[in-house]
Amino acid sequence: MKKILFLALCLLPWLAQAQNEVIDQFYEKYRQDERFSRVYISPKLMQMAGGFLSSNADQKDEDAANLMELITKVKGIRILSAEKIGGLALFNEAMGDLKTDMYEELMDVRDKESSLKFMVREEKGRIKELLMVSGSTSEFTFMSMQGDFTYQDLNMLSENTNLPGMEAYGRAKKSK
Amino acid sequence: MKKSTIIIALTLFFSLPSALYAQSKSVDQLYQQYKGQENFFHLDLAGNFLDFAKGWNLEIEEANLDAITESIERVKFFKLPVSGTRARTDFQKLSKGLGKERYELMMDATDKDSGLAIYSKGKDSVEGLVLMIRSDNDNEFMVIELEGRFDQKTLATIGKGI
Repeated sequence: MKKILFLALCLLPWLAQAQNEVIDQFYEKYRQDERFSRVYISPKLMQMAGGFLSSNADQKDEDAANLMELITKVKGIRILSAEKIGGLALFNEAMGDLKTDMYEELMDVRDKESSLKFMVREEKGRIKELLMVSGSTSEFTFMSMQGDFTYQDLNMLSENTNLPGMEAYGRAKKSK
Repeated sequence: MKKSTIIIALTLFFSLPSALYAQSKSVDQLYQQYKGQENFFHLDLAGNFLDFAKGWNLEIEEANLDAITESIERVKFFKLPVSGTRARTDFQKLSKGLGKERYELMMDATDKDSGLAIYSKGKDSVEGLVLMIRSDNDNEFMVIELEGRFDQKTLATIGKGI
């Protein structure tokens, strides 16, 4: 039993890496597709921007300083979105590719014409990735944000940024 | 034997600065492809950039230009004389070429009619940057290549000044 647990623990980083590759592949698959708008910010740029933003943060404005500090925790962002597209099929494709047992579901909204899912990947009690996938009969959005967050950080992001799906996330948190 | 060692060492010593800030072959290939055309626009800034910037009557202290000019060795800017599908194909080819040259995609923000992609070279600090800009409803395609060394500390110094 101990051996199995040890083996599972050894495999965890590898499984997380495999998940990143799945997300990379999905993003790369549609990157050159002209129907999609896309945003990608690499960990390297986020790291450099962190130093840049920290030096510019107004220490007297506590909210601004907190938000700047939060942005420095973001390690990378990928966003794919498209309009006038069969978003439900893309939603199902994305969900099919992901090994969802690596993620904890935060929110799942589904009706006849649309689906929205928020998931997080945690390591040692810290959120390492926030994943949002939404699809409808006419739109599709996919967002993967990697970093090192707490749930409080996510709440702050939902209140202070215009990242895709954050509005829905904030509304759902308030309605709880 | 000794002589050849000295020659190799001297060659390496003198070629090192140009190797550090070597320009991208893919960017140069695209530049060479269109440079002979009449409506091709390009701007090349090299040498003492600070002296050049002083001529613009900019507020040096405010923009912290010292940090910028210490980092940038050379700036190359050009606008493709073509647009639409042909220019998009050129950009795709350039992206692939930069990938082969081990440039890393740092940022990509693109929609149907416009876009910006930033590629960088170097591991711990950035030794070269290539910006690919698509704007004006897919009519303007521009490439900016910055050669030099940009690290987090330099960016923070520049940031404080802006």
